[in-house]
Amino acid sequence: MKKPLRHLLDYLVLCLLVSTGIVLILIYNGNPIFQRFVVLGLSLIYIVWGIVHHLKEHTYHPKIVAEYALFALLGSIIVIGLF
Amino acid sequence: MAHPAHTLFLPHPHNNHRAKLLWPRSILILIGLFIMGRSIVDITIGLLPGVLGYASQIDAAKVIELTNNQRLNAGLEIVRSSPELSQAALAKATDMFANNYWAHVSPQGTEPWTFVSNAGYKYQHAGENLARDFSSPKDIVSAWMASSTHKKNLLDSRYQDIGVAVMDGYINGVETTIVVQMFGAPQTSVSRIASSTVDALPVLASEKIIPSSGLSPLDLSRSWSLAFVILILFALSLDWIFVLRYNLIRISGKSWAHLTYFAGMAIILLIIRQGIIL
Repeated sequence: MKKPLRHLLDYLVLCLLVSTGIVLILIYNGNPIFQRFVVLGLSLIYIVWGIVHHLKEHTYHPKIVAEYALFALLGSIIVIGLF
Repeated sequence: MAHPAHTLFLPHPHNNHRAKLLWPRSILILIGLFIMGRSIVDITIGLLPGVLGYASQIDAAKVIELTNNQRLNAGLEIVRSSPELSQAALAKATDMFANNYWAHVSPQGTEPWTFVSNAGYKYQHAGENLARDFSSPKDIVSAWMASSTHKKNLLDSRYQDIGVAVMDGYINGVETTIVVQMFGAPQTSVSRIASSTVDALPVLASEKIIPSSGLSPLDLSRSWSLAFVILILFALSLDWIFVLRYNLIRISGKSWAHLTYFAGMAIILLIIRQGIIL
């Protein structure tokens, strides 16, 4: 598969994952316990997505995984602090 | 020599072509700052009870009406307002504020059924739904319907009576509005014919509604969280533009992926509604 097309596919997958998280949060408004799990799940999936994407791109490096993990941690803390 | 603001927000040879704000150590600092800010809010609530709060005027009759609408939609008989169950709901709300808890069972171990029995309602089946910090009865019933356990109570064909109490007060120093919904089926059940009119006799727990300070803890926390997300989105957008424009190659994650993730988090922050059910 050509690189730009592969990029687009990965991007669509990420958009789909994020959108699913948003829809679940919307459905379960008023249920903070479930919403916490959704945000944590989304953040973990985001890290996994980053690892898979960079493995496919042959640009995998532990520093990159740490970067995804830190961004996911910041995002989770910011949102979960609200529940 | 690059201006510090440039190196903080823009990729530059002086910051190894990566905005300093997006460096791992900066992310760690941001996490620390965020937690510190939230702690200040929590400490303020603890030291100055009533500074932050959320009180609303929920119409108990509307909660009963919306509950019955859901039951009629499901092909069930409506539940009738019971003075005893309303009294039990009021007693439960009063107990939660008096003993500073938010749960079905009090810290002393008092179960909801105790309030039902004490109010003189001899039940065969009984159920309880709780909600707090909602701004409208519609949001409360929607949240209950979205939760399988609460929905089960709402649409339980065994229940014939309902009691709803709305009460304002303080829990853990935060001003709040609690809604208690009690369902019951009496021990000597008499069959009834469903009626389209709702004979609601709601109990408003306090005649004097505590005026809201207008500064909800959720709004304050949401603003604090949004400030961080906007800052990150801004830095990532600039980074992405510079990477595309100057075709920078570096060992790092994809800015557009981080942007998508944080845009999602920003949307989640905006759609989270006030209100908790139990």
